[in-house]
Amino acid sequence: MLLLFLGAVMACDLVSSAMDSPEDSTPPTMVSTTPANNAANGALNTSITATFGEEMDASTINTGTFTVAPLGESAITGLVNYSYRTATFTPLSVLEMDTAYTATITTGVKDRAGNTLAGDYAWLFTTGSVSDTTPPEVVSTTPEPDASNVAINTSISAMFSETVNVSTITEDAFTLATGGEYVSGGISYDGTTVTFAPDLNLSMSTTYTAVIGTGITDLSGNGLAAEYTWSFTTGSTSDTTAPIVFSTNPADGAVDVPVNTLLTATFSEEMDASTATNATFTVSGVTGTVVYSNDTATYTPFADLSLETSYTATVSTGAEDLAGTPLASPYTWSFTTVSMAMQETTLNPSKDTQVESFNPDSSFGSQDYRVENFFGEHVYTLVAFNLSDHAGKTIESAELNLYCHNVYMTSTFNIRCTTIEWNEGSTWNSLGADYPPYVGPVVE
Amino acid sequence: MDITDVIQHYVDNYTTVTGFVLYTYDGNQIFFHSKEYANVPYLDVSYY
Repeated sequence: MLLLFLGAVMACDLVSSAMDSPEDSTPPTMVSTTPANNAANGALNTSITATFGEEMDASTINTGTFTVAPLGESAITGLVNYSYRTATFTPLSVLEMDTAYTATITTGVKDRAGNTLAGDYAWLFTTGSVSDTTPPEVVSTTPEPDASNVAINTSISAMFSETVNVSTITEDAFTLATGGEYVSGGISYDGTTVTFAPDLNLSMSTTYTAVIGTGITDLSGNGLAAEYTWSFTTGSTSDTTAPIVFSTNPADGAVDVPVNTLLTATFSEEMDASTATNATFTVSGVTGTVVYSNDTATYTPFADLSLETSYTATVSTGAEDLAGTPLASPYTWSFTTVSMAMQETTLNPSKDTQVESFNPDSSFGSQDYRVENFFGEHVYTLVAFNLSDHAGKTIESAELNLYCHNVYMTSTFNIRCTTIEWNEGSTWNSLGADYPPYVGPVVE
Repeated sequence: MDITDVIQHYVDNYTTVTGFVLYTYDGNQIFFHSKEYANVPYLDVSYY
């Protein structure tokens, strides 16, 4: 069968924090959860996580302030831990199949300055019918395997194929060594990227080996299938070149930006993922979450932007490259959203039929229909869609989708509006269809 | 002219249009599923 389109025809945690200062009176924010709000088909063996916009007071995050319950029922039992700005609830038994759950973080949680959440934060997700047994993988690293002439002040990072359980990112889960000697440093985690920052510059012209251990698991407890090991060799210099914002979306000065757009900032080099967050990437009057991957930070607003509104986005000097060199200055750009939001709809026919000149008294309203002009005989196929709600609208695009079931035959045909009165019981004779019953422009 | 223009013309000019007519001049038959078949045909429209 062939689907034809008619038209042109057939269609992390070194973050922050300034917030630790005594002057901080800003409530902490929630930047992401796993599962996401309204997510469906969650794994039965998943843990539930909530990531905050700043470091929190770990002593306030416990089974009293982080609960998970089947919708309308009592909370289930589980363990709660906190690290890398992320609270993790690990159920003591697998979740029920095909069940809606509510996860709640209460105002009992506090940031390190003692500020509480503005209000309880709750989100809903639904389980599927299976457990997740797929192990996480390391999908990319910086430096790359066998890289040479690496800056001696670099950090080392690895990106996973999925979110991992922060409680499993321990000191010995990510190591760097040369000649049998381990390098001392700190580990951070953000999004799906874990970063090791050596305490001191690496030695010049030296080969180092990084190891990600199998102790790191995903949120369902699946560990890496095997240790991930890679090596690189340093050069003789430090990287002191400040990164720059290379491009943005929307571009500076852009107009008519869709209200559901995702904002991106692409950097001139690989950045420390733990510094490319919503603490350093901000949009005026907007709250959202930031994910960093492959030189690009993507800002996803929690809600659609407002119509016909100017916004200013900023990447602050808190964003640093892997050598710890920050942007030389904040990067700011502005854009304006569309005055009217584009809407999309899919219409199904309210009626359809065909009439044939060679069966002039027969009705074909309940059959599949054909389009032809055969041996001087005529067939008109009639399809009605109710477009009355679209009067006065500007049509951005339209696509008529038909399902063809005689794939051995190719042809083109035309489509126009018709003003004749018809119904699914109409016949050639009842329509008096001995004339072209169409008006307006034609699609050929 | 493409289907977008036809739909725009439809909503701009007609209050009595009763649908679309499909026809051809090349003499070849093409068979399509009617609306009795699962959700086809259908019309996707994006508009402001």
